[in-house]
Amino acid sequence: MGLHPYCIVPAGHEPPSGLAGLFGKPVRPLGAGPFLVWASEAETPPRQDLDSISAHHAVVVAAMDRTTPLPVRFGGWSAGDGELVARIVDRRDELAEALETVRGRIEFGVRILEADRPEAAAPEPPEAPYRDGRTYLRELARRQAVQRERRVLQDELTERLHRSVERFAHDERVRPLEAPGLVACAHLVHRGDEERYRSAVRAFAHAVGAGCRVHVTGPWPPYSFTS
Amino acid sequence: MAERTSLAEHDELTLVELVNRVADRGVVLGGELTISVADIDLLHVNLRLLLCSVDRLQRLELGNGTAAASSSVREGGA
Repeated sequence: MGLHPYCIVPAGHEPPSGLAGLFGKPVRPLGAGPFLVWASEAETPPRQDLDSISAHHAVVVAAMDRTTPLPVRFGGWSAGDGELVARIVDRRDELAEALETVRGRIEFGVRILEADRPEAAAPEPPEAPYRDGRTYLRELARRQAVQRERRVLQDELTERLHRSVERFAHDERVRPLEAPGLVACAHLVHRGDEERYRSAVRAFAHAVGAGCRVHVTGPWPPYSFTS
Repeated sequence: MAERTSLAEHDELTLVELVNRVADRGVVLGGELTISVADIDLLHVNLRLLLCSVDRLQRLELGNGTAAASSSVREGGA
């Protein structure tokens, strides 16, 4: 029987009895070197739909109640116990280091979006019928200037956010976003520092003013700090 | 009203963050992922359409006359 893995935890952290995963199947622990991997039976890899993704996440969140797990990316189906355990044991040093990094910590996400602007809502015309070469080049230059301004703004916001939360964020991942998004950041925060971290992000949002919208999500299992 | 809109947007973004994390991050333990979700950020305006099923996007892209539908989804978020 195949297995769908959810997360890797230090040995000794068993799933709660009655915990169900995908397809309502019970989640059971498999020993893999110094770790346990929480998994449930699945004849085939599950479809990547929202219900399955939510069910996967719910099991990882249950693990967060007991320890800080390494979440497994959705889609890591194995044909059987032996194959799954071997995949983990083969990487035991790397996984032990990752578990040490996330121990006692949780992840938050910050997403910075452009404030609503009428011109931002209108999609760019795909291929405008330019009257001549000069019009085309002018339009090209305009678009490049907009892109340069966006990159400068993204860098500035990233740096300001970093300075705002660095006291509480042990690690950080930054991703630029396409419009109307600007930047998405993930922060690894000590358990117990949640409220101080949130206050720091609120202060950042207040400081950047009405030009941007700032959303915080979390706490999350440390998905962004495990690879 | 503005607050309700903001809450709805926050719920949508939480879903985007969820899907990005679960399907695109975490320890990779083999297996085959059927679709890249890297474009989900482009899609948050049309999130409800997409997140009915990521698989549905694949079908949209593969079906007849769907290039326009797929493109409009992407540009809707761009």
